[in-house]
Amino acid sequence: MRTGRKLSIAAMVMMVAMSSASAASLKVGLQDDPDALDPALGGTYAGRIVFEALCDKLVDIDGDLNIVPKLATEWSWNDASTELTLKLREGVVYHDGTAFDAESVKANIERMQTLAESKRKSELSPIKEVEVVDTHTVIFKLESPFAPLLSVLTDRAGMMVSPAAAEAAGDNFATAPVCSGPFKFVDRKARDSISLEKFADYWNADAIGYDSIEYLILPDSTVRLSRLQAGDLDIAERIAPTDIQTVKGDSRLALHESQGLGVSHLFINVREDSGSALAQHPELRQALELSLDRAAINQVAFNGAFTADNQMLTPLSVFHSKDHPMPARDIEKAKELIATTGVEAPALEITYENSLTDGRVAQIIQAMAGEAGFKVELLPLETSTAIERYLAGNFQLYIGNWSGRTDPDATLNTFFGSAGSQNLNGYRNAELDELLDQARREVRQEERIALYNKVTDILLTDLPTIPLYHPSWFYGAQASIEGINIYPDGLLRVAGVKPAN
Amino acid sequence: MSAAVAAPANTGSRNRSFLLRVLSQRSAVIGLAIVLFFVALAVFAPWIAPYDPIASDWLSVRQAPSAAHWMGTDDLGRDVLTRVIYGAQASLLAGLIAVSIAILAGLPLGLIAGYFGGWVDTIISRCTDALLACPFLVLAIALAAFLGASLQNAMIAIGISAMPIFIRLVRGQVLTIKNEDFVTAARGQGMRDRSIILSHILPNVVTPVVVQATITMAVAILAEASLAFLGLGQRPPAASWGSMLDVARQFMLDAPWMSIWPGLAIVTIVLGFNLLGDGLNDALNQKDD
Amino acid sequence: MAMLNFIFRRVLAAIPTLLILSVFVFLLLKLLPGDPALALAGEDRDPAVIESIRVKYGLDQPLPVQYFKWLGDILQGDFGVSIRTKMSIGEMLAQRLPVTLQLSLQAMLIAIIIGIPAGVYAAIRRGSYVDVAVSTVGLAGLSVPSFWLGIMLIMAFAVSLGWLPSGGFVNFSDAPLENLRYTLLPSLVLGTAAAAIIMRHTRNSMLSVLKQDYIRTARAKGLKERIVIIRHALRNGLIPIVTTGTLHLGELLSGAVLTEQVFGIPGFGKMIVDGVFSRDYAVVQAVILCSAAIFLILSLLADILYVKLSPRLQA
Repeated sequence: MRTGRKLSIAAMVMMVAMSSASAASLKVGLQDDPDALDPALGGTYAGRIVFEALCDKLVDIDGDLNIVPKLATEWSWNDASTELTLKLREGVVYHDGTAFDAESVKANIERMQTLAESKRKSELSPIKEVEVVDTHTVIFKLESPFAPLLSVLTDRAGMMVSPAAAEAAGDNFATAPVCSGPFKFVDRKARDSISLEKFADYWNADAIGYDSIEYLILPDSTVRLSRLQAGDLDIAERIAPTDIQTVKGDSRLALHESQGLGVSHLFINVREDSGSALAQHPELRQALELSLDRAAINQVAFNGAFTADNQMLTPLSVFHSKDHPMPARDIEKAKELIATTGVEAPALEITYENSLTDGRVAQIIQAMAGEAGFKVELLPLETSTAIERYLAGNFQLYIGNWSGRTDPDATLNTFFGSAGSQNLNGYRNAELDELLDQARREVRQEERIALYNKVTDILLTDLPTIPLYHPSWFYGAQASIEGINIYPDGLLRVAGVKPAN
Repeated sequence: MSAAVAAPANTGSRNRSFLLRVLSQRSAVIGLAIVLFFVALAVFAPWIAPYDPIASDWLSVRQAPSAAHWMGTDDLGRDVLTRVIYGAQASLLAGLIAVSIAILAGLPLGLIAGYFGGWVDTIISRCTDALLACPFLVLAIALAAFLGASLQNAMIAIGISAMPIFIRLVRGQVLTIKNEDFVTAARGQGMRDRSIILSHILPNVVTPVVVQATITMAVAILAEASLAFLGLGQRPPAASWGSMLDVARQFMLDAPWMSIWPGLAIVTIVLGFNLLGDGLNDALNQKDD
Repeated sequence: MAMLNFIFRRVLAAIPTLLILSVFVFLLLKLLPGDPALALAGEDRDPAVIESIRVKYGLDQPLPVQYFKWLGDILQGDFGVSIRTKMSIGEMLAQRLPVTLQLSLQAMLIAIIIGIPAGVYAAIRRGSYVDVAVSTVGLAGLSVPSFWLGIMLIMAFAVSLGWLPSGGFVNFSDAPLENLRYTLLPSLVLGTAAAAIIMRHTRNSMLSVLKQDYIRTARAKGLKERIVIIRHALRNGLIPIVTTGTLHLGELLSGAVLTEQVFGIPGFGKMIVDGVFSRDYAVVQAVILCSAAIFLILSLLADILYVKLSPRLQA
């Protein structure tokens, strides 16, 4: 008993000592447990937050989606836009001491292109060859111009891992990743926590304000908020829209937000043989859009915290069309359109991956479309069953949640190009394909804007999908922490983040 | 989530006064009253409920209880009282069908295993042991998740998970009955196995199965609520208490009324079946006193 | 010696049970719709990636081949890796089981402290208002869904009063006091159903013991009622309670599924739910088998305790 008490007092003293010493540990609450901690394999948003501290990438974005230097300090395209030359930062080492150089970049790109499970294959497929010019210069050679390449390198495809460590660890690399970011991997407990410690030899070590980071996995947003309020957490990601006022009203806390790149959309199967009335009658797709009040969906489902919109691209993007404002709800017009098709009470079925937010959005759509005369059924499915149907094109309407990309090509070509990997609704438009292809080869921004404006024009006429809203990112943090900047990709960039004084 | 097993019945008793004894049990009567109350709610829901259970009202989202909405409104502006009333349908239906599946599959298997013995019994019993070693709810969750979220699949999942209890119960009953004089006599007279099972064994198994079924109803209703809470039950927008709680959990701070009433409804209905089951069990074993 | 023999036979008998269950679990996961490779393929859902995942994890092989490979690995103590996080499942179990074990033991402690005195008292005062109250509360405890009780407690003690955290977990070794704060509400939720069961069993068991001849003899000898109850009745009445209590520890594991979900505790129960929802087959298989093994061990333990505790059976 007595020793027990002594021990617990000692523990308390230690805790106090640790927290007052330098407050050098940053505790971050994550909503999900990341999957594999290997940039080649990772497929979760939570994983990207961790990678942000763990693995530096070749280039980065800023708050306005401009490409800025990171491990590559300069870059240039050749005149034909088929070769991208990158100058690499000097004096950079990986966590295991391996030097970061042109050879290692080549090894990384090849690893991501060939690893069996790599999720980066399609992103990096335009690169045909990586040429090492000297120790700090590489050239990415493409078969044909591919303007979005730089934006691809701002995410996991541009993250460099130590080739030596990757080779040595083989399949186990994800359990102890070795990159070149400001923090290095220490330990991971599944569904519980991930610990990183400061990497002393980091090239930009002065900008790093913490000695270690602990990511705690706390799936419940109420729990994250209450632990933030209790001071157990320094930063919590994805504050629920309903809790935003609570954070704003607490003087010890600060809310950091950014509009996001992502989009939620109602993907419509337009394949002729799908038997769907929506596929046969474009008027019905228009009627469905007119029956929806996107602002009300945003208000009811997200307390109005997100951005209601009628386009796939975020309004933050320069490629978001200014010529196509969001139409207002018009029930009468919708009913008229339905009447012109002669279809009595058109039956619709909305498939979605079972989640509370999508469920709520689906139920609101059901009610709104119902008022216009549609008869809507809901089909929530467990994730992999839903995906299976999605991939097979076995759906009438599907609530798609696309995380978005910096470059419009990755969204528009993927979903609406005839050969796009997510073109699963059978939408084909030769004119659109031509425009998308031109835009992909065009590296001049003004020309691209004009091309994508035309693309949006076609999409809003054909309506192969009905975009609903763009989610925003909300981080709650202790007000005393300085230097938190959330960009549209919603990631927590640790450089510059430091405790007050 | 206790899968309580009914005490084995006193075998010789084929008492016609069973019903009388049930009615003399206070807890059974109270339990029966509660159950009948919810059955009435479920059946007459369209006439009792003040609102449409699925019609959303954007202008009255998450409103506190008031004269117009006694239990407040939910995240889509629907009346919570109405949805609690309609929720009785999903719960009772789930309980009834799940228990029916468990009995329809479990009773014959138990009869066969107990009556014929030998390798048939060994196989059935081993499989039953294996299923019983796996936690009831875990099995139900795994089945329901992989069958896909719907009330129908949840019922199947719960039914299959509850089946082994009935196999074991019936088998045990048959083992004690099959050596009773009247069974041996029937066999001596050259009666066929099927006739013996149907006319001599089955009637003696019915009472304990009914008692177990009542207790399993309680377990099944709790399980349905649990599955719905995990998003594996009734599909939206139809009302189910478990899924109402799943949604309500996000609004503990702004709309606590959303969490309170569906939960109370679950507690009450399950308590009703447990009281009834207890009463039936006592009535069944009264001879021991 | 007889005891060792008994244990040996029981362990031997458990092996086919586990084997059959392993076949069930394996088939269950394989035959039902849904492909784990799809859940893993990421947002792009590149068919080539999906195919290579299938090949890599042997999902393209015939079922019997997959089964025996899996079984062989398990027999060597290798539960495989989580297809989602690539972490070793054995390691995950080692991290998760102690968390749930702690919750279960705390819950059992709460259940015993509440359940046994209440049950004994109800039995002594059979038919009184106290008895009716105990029986009703006991039954109500069995009827409360754990997730709802959890929500109510969080609303009361975390959200409104702010006394306790609304969820999450801290390891005991990191911060003992904090750990107790985090586990108090979940243990209470888990303990409620267990307390109800123990209360009911205690009451029934005491009622039947109190009817026995030796109690009448003790009373006739003029012993004080309290001594009769504690020294004679309770000692015998507790035997079935110890065994049901042991068995119920196994039930607590499955009760932990929803409790851990509500409180966001990274335990065994949450591992099951997460595994099921992310189609991490290897995890689900390992977890189900593991919980069945725990159940079998506990029921063996219950039997041993029963034999040890009741002198009549030992003879």
